[in-house]
Amino acid sequence: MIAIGFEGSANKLGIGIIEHSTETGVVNILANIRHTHVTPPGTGFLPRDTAVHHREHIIPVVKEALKTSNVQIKDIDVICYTKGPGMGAPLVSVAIVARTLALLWNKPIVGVNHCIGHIEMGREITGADNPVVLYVSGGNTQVIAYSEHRYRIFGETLDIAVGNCLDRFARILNLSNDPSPGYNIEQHAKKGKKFIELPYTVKGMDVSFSGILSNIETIKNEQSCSPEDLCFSLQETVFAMLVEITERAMAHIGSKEVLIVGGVGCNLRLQEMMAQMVEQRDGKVFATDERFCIDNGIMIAHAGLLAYRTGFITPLERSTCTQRFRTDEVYVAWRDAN
Amino acid sequence: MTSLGHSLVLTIPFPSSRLANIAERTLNVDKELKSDQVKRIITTDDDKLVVTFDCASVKLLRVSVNSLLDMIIMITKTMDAFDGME
Repeated sequence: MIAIGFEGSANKLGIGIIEHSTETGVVNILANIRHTHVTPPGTGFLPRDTAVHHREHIIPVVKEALKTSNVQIKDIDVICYTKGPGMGAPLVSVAIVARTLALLWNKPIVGVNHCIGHIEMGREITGADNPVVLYVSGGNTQVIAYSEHRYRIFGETLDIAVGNCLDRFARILNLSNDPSPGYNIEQHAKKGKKFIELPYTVKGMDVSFSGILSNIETIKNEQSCSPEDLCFSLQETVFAMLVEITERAMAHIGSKEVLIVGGVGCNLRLQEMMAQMVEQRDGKVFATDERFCIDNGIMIAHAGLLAYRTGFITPLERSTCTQRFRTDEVYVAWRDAN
Repeated sequence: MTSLGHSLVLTIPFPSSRLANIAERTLNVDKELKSDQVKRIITTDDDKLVVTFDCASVKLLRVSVNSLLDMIIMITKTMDAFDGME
């Protein structure tokens, strides 16, 4: 079976085409094309401009995905799109194209929860069976574990997402957004030497990042801290917070596996710190590279096809988008209860 | 139905009634967010897409019409590029 996935919940526009073998269950990635809306240093991406970007680039990106995959339209079984969570205008712009194609080509359509897309893609690529999932991106920060057909949220951010904290920090320091602010922070951090203490806020299973930003605003002009030192200290502080709540979730459910997904998940320092903790617990860390960590269409196609194979279809008149769509709202029919 | 005071009717021709119908179904999925201040009715008349707006202010009318036109442009571009592909 073949699915095409449409993703555009934030500044990445992604189209992916995936094939699941119905006999063996083997997954084959046929195309994974992405185009990113990169804004000048010191600025972030706004919903309106991001929607315009997606509308400008979606047709060539779909064409390229079809060409790369070499599939015929008649071989596509289902069209999958991101239903939410994400920015409203970009989501709708992409969903409009998915709907039009579903009607033009006479295919069923499946609305996919973006977070579920990340989790299922991470599990598929790494082979992690039943891990504690740390989902860290520009819009989401959650510690998740699976039970009884749902991905349950054990802990999450109380204010802004960790990736949002990194993005806004990069704006304060005027770092480049190309290829991504987080990547540039990671490179600067490698040259940092001095650790500057920043607010460390873990409340039970939850974390908070907004205090760090206001703290950095006040200390950035002090001569004693270079941008490199700030990048280094920021990474060490926020990642330690994430490792702490992940470790607690592992202890709660007795799991020895950790899967890191979401855009911040391709940060090697986060992967390294997580590995140090997990080694002490005799476990294993699973992570993917930027092709699958950062938002992409293939994960939407993959999660949508998993649902479609259990008989799930979104009726066209209900193929809406929603800015708020929690991970635990989705009934996971394609996994066993435990 | 009593008018909200500011209305506009758009009639947009499509190459066929099939394509006009696809545009109508695609657009009708998303509801207007301020449904008490913006009434929007999307229908077809053979190969024409007919959209009636009735809004509480000129500003709302402009915003609503502009945003719908953006979506219609996206739909027609998609039809141009991918209709009839096999």
